[in-house]
Amino acid sequence: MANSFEILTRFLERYSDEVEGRQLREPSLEVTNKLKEFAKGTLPEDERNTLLNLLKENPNWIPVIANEIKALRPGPGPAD
Amino acid sequence: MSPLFNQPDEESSQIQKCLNGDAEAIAGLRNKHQPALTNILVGRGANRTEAEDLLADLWADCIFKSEDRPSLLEKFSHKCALQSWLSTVALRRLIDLKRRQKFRGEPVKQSELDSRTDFFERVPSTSSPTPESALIDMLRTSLQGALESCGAEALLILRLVYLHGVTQREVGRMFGWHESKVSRAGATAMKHIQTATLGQIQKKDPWLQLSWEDFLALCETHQVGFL
Repeated sequence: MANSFEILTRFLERYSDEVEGRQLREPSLEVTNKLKEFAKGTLPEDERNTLLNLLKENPNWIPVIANEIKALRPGPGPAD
Repeated sequence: MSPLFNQPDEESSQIQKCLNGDAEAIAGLRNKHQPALTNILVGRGANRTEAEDLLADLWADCIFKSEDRPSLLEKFSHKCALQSWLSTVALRRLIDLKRRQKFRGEPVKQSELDSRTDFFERVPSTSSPTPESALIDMLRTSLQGALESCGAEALLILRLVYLHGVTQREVGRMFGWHESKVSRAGATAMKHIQTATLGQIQKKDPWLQLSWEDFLALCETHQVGFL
């Protein structure tokens, strides 16, 4: 069963006029690096707010952070 | 097996009978769900007459009439309980009705008439929003407004956790927080979205007593298109 936030987001994705009206921008290399630093927890706090506001405007950049966090997960241990 | 476990099968069988035009099955369905649906509509802002009229139409639409006008029940996809589906259909119709009443009651502003000299320009456009699009617009604008008023940090947490499968512990590491703080921030943000969304609806349609569960059900049914 979908969680509440997912239901709301999918609804907006389907019906939001912004989906058609706004062209999705890719983050620049500099922003991508900052997103990865943020994911690692190494981005200085004073740089976070700027990045957070950019992410609010460009939620399509969030997978960069999610993927980086997942890449940091420890792999399965050696097989016995 | 207990009777409770048999219920979905019984419901499916009753729906099938209704689809086959069995008047007794439709009467049975109406007797079973009418009181709860009436309470739901009255609880959301309908008066008793409106609730009864809306439900009379709803049951009439459940009867198969022709190939061009199949039974409303054909749209039921069994993705939720029949009563939830019927209450969402009824609620959507109530919102349509109230909005039509509102638009009928609003006179055209004199300034709008004065700015148009040609009689034909005063004839209502055929591209007026349909009740369906008016409902979607109400859900969308209230929700967008609520999300815009939500903090950037809280929105990122919700998106990472609920859309991208990142754990609260991982988000906590990113912010340098304990995961309990992440959990609290997410819960507070969801509460804010709920309050702000319903607040916007109340402001626009003060008659409508929508619960958060109603709002979610309306969004979900539109999302998967099973209304």
